[in-house]
Amino acid sequence: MNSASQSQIGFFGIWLCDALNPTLSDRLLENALSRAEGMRLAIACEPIIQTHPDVRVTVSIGVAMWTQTTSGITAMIQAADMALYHAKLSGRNRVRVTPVEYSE
Amino acid sequence: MLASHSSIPPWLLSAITILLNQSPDGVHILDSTGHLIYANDTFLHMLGRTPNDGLPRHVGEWEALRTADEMTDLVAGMIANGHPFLTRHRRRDGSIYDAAINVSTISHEGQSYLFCTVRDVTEQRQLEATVREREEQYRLLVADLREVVFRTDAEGRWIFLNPAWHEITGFDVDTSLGQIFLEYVYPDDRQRNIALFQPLIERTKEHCRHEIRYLHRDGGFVWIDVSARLTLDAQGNATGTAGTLTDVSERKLAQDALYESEARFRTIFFEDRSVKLLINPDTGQIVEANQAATDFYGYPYDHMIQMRIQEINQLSYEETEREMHNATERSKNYFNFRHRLASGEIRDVEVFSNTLKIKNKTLLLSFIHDVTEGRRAEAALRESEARHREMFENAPFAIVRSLPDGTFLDVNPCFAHMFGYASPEEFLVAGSNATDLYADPTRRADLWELCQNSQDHIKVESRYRRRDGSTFEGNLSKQIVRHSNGEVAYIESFIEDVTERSQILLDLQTEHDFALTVMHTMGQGLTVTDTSGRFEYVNPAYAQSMGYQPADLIGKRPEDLTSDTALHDLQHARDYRLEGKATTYESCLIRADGTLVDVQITGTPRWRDGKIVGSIAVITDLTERKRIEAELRLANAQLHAQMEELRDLQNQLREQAIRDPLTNLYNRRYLDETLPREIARVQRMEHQLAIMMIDIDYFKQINDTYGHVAGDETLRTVAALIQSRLRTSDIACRYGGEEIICALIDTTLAVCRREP
Repeated sequence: MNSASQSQIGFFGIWLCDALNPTLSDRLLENALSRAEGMRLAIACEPIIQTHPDVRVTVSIGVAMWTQTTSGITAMIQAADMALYHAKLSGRNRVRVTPVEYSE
Repeated sequence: MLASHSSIPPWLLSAITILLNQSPDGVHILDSTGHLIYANDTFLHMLGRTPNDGLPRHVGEWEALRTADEMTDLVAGMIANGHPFLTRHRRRDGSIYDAAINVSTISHEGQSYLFCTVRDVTEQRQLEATVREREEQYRLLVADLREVVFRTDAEGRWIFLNPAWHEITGFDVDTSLGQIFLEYVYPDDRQRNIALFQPLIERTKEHCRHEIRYLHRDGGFVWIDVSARLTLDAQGNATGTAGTLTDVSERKLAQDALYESEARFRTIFFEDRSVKLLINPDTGQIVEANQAATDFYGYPYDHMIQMRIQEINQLSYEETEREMHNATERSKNYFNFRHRLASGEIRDVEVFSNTLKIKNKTLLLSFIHDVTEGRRAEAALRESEARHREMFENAPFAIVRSLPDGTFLDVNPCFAHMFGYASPEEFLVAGSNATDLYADPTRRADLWELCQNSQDHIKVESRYRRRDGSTFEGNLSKQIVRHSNGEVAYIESFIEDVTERSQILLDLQTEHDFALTVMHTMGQGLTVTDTSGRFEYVNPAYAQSMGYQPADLIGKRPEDLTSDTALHDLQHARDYRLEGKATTYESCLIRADGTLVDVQITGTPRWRDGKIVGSIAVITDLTERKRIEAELRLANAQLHAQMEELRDLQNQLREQAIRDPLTNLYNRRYLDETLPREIARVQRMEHQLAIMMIDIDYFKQINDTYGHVAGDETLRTVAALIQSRLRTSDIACRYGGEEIICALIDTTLAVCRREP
């Protein structure tokens, strides 16, 4: 196989791994996490206060996914809140996901 | 080669055999009929045989795709002109593998043989098939994506675009490929786009993301969220870019609409000429006042917003509170108040109030409409009527208007005095009937009949009875005034006390002089025409209002001064008058300078010796009345426009009510209302939902160190950064002080589910 098609495979491979590999919910969780991570990075890198451009502001983010067993909105928000709490606890400026399903 | 070296040393043969048996390729030699001459161990192993099993005899025994005969022919052909080929071999146990075969021809003692090396390529072929399959799956995947997936080469030419490109920009994928991508960027944004790509080209960033306008084929543009990264070859050199383009026009439009609605709120509240106040209904505190309001009331803005409405409103405290309470309950949205200006002047105002919810507070938005001017206009109307009445009031003879049944509409003071009353009011209150005025009670009925029989006009002498019972002789001129449909409008009578007449004649010398004096001094226009319809006399008021000298008009005809549109009415009225009837109608006249004037004309026939000798017309200028009517219409239209504005404003404020004013994200209430709906949808549509709870680290310290303004700015900037990374289907809301919740609704699941 020549090197051009190899690099194409590499490019496509990212997509294929995302789209075809493990389970769907894993992929979606990963998607949510990567978007959260993107937000965290964007905030951490941008100057936030005009008069103090050197001051870096960071955020902590908790992520929760809706699953068929989620008991309700409150539970979902609580789950995200708990993940946020973990993010804060483990040093802030990071993204955490609720490790186990949280139910009321 | 072997053929030319007939004697090979045995050790070399042994070495060749070992080499052949250790080769990773299966090696075998066939004669020209396809029979096996030699096979190495590797080949036998590939065929699933051991050396003990003995050799197969003919190529047909392991070939899976062709018959033995076909193979015999093929081998013969290969000996003549050999080339590598792919086929399949059957192992001894019946299983199949893919074989890639290289062939060479060997000649020995006049015989030709086929030397074959075989490689098992089953795994490689499967791998290739898998890749092809995955590429096809990828192609299907990107074909259905709503986002554009693109690649460009190092020069920025499109080398890959999925069908979404056509959906979003309207350009054909095929014609776009090979074009420079920058040519599809909206011209105004090209410089910016180059700048945004700079970090990527300089390799200071691996990935860049920005929103930019792309051209649409229809000539407009679409807002595109561009996400791009460099593509690198194996040596790490940039070969181009790859990424996605997402259509965010809808979100941009929504944002623009929001900004516009805010701008419109400001425009409507602050820049409009109508006076507006925002009032706290609980305290009466003026929360906001526009320029028109400060101009109108005459207070400086700073002072104005510290005042309470009670200081302006002239109703008592309790009355005002009660009124405002009513407004809050929306039982009424319109009041007549009297407002005091800074100058102390009192103005009549109409106040239109509506309740608005702003920042969880109920406020009254009041439009204050100064109607003092309107009242003045009404007064002007009354005044012009009063001018008409002036002559009526001051005439030196009795004028009375009555209905056929004898009830009185109006009498002038002279009439009242003549009959022994102090004033017209006193007379009208007494409730006399016209019959009672005559010394002979049957006289009126006789005269009424006579009048109708004499073309609605009579001039007779009659004896009248005063209040005290005394009687006097009077000259009566009676005229029936009819509507244009012929119905009797009223009867106008002029009564002259003949006992006093000698005195008047002494003053004015002749009746003619007296009439001329009245005609000369009256404010309304008066014209006298002869039988041919020419002006015999016009009074100064008429000539002046028409822009002529009276002398200029003598001998002219009314037609000369009448607008074409009114000629028909004029002729109609004239016909009517020739029958001896009085008419009242509206007309339109042309002044000397060509301008038009709306008038009301009351015409009466002139009688001499029982014959009609022309007519007398009184012309009343209606300009003022028309102007007031127009003003009223305008005021009405403005009122409607204001109500319309109010409705618009309410719509905008409804939008405000679901937004957090600082960050412009949705507020918690909106999330509480929307999230259950979204979850229901997620379940129904099999979409996916993630909740992100974002909290700013050490926010309190930012506030304490840099101040609350910086704190607010932090919230705004962070909110904007988050908002910029959301999709249209996502919802971001300010949940608490420095907490933001995002609901990410993934609608791409349906696409993913297509995969096996």
